[in-house]
Amino acid sequence: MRTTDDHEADRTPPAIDRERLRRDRLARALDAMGRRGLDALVLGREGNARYVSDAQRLWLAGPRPFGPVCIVVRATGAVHVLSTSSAGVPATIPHENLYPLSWNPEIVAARLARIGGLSDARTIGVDGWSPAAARLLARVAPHARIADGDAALREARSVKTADEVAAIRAAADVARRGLAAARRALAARPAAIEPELRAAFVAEVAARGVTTPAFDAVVHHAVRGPLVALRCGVLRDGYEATLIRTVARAGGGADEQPAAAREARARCAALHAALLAACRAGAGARELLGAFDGAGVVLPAFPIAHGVGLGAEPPLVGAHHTCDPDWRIASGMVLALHAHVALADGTGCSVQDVVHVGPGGGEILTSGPEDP
Amino acid sequence: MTHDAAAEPDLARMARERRARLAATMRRHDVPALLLLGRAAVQYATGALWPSSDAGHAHQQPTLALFVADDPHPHLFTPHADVLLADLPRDHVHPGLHPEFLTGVRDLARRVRELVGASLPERIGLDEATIAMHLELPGLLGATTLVDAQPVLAAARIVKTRDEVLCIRRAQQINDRAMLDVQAELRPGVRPHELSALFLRRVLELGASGNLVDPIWQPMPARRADGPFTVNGEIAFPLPSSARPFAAGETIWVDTGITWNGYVSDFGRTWIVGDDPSPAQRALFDRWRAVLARVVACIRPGATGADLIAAACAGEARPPWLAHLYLGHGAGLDSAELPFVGSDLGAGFDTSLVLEPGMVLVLEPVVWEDGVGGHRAEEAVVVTGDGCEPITTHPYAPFA
Repeated sequence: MRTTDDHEADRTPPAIDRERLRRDRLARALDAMGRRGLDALVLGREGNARYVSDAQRLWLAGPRPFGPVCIVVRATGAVHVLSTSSAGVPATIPHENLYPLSWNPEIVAARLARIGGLSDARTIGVDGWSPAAARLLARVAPHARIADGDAALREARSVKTADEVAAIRAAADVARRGLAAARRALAARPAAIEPELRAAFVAEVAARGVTTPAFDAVVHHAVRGPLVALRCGVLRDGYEATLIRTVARAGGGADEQPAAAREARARCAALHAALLAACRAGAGARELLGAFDGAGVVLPAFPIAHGVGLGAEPPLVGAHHTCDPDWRIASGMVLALHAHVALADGTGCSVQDVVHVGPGGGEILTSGPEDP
Repeated sequence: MTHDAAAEPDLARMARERRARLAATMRRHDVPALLLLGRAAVQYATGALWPSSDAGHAHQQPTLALFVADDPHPHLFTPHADVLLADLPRDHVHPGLHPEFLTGVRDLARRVRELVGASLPERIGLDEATIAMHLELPGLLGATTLVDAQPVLAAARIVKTRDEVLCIRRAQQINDRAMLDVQAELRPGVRPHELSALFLRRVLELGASGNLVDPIWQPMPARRADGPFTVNGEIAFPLPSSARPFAAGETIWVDTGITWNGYVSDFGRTWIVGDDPSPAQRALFDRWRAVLARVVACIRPGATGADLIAAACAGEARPPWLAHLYLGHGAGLDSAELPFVGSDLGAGFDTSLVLEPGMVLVLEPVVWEDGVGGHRAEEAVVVTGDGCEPITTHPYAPFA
């Protein structure tokens, strides 16, 4: 029978010190709680709950309704986790801190009320909401002020530790190989429809032990005609990596492609370089959006940058996307940058990479030998 | 009601009939408008379908619906350019909103006022919200009270239309077919993720919209005490897969689910690695099948959840299902939705559940004999006018 240790051995690439990763993340979350005066956190978002607990939950596609998946009490530093069994829960979380899955709000309320420091918390940070959650919290902590717990976790999660960057790099390795498999499937059958390319991608990443795609679609809708934008993302041990590469549907070398395709590729490569150059500590959304202006490229309707970590993270940067005007890139952040060019005749090209911002600029985590 | 296996669902009719159910339920509950964020709720109200993505992406770029019972069409707010719209008119489809942040919540409130009209209804039903919406939205909607939309949604969704049942059947057919190919590859030395790789490829080849749950291939101990710790003393299940190869003779509890046009399948079987079942394991399977047969025999309109539980428990020393789950659950746009039978909502809830034609139930009894192990499998059925019909069409190899 599997134990927690078996799960650990399965999933930790050698460069990552899992114990240190957990310690560092929880310390950052507790610091953010302190700065914001939060006595407790009630977390339901997958990425937030994983960040503070590192408990491995069964993956489901898409978002789940909000519920109390993980609870942190600042005074004790204790982490409580919704889990009927200890499998997949780090040994640092004692069995008495587990509470079971339940459909019955009375049972949940009674169990949560036993968590030391929750019922008498003055301020509780919560990262989602529903009318049912409102009733639950009113019973468990009737006197608490409810505050934005998601903002606290955003703050904690935005700058990555070295172990987190290694985890994203490990995810990127699998995502790249998945994209290469989709590309091979397209080369083998240029008339292939999207599900065939998805099948090639998911089978490749699953064979490497990663069965959790970041999204279903593997062809980016904005690139049509002679070029195909392959878009592959995975979550490995919770960490995401995603990339887009544009390839010729009919195969062949660059000189066999129509002039428009060559032009779109060249302009996209220049834009990609400009975006990477703009992605430096101290810059903000304006500089990233400005890279399009500078390259003479119209901004697409979709976002051109987003945070990457335990899944997609804030910010979301785009022509129509909300981003805190005071948001600035800091050393240690990891962002996905999306260069996209659409020519007047409809020919398009997309390239997306995950970039780790260091003191000297951005390092691409998603490039490698399989790149087109 | 007999089932035609080749029948195609009419997606436009499905969208119309769901909306009519929802509008009627809204009037009954006196909730004139709904603001919806949950994926299944938005799909139910609008008929829109969009590619699935992980929770982080989905929260960052949500799809929302605003449904006013007096307007024949709901409004959809979506960031997806590749969304399928069923029969939504273009003037009811709007760019995405960003209710994670205060500015996005303000945009949302403004759009609600513009679309519903100057005088907002007294009550707007809300299924879920971001924390920014909870903190800011009530102050932006004047005298309007936000009420819980779940009772309205649950009452509408618990009975499926004919096309919804066809969608669930199609999802289940794809899932069942793929698992035949997967079971053929089960042998000692194979690793769980190799089965996942084959499964995920096959369901896409067979036409699935996407995968729903990380496939579960859980080796089960013969004795309860040999499994991981559980807070309720129950058998630990379901667990994410490990990388350890399967060993000869191991018992595996399998659980997979996919989607087709938004609707889910649910597959559960007990497999044995590279070996025939022992006489004791066969006896356990026979006991499991007897539990299932008793439950299926009493499913008909008018039967209650309590009737199903009594049938399941007859002759069993303890309730034959996992205490932290249930004897059965509904399935539709969500993988576990109402009706629940045998959950910890309690006996009163089970007694109040009265089956109606069009309800879908996934039955998942578990029988256990310490020292031998357990048998678990899932059977989806739909309640008909006078009984029920199977949705699952999958053999019980290597047991039968």
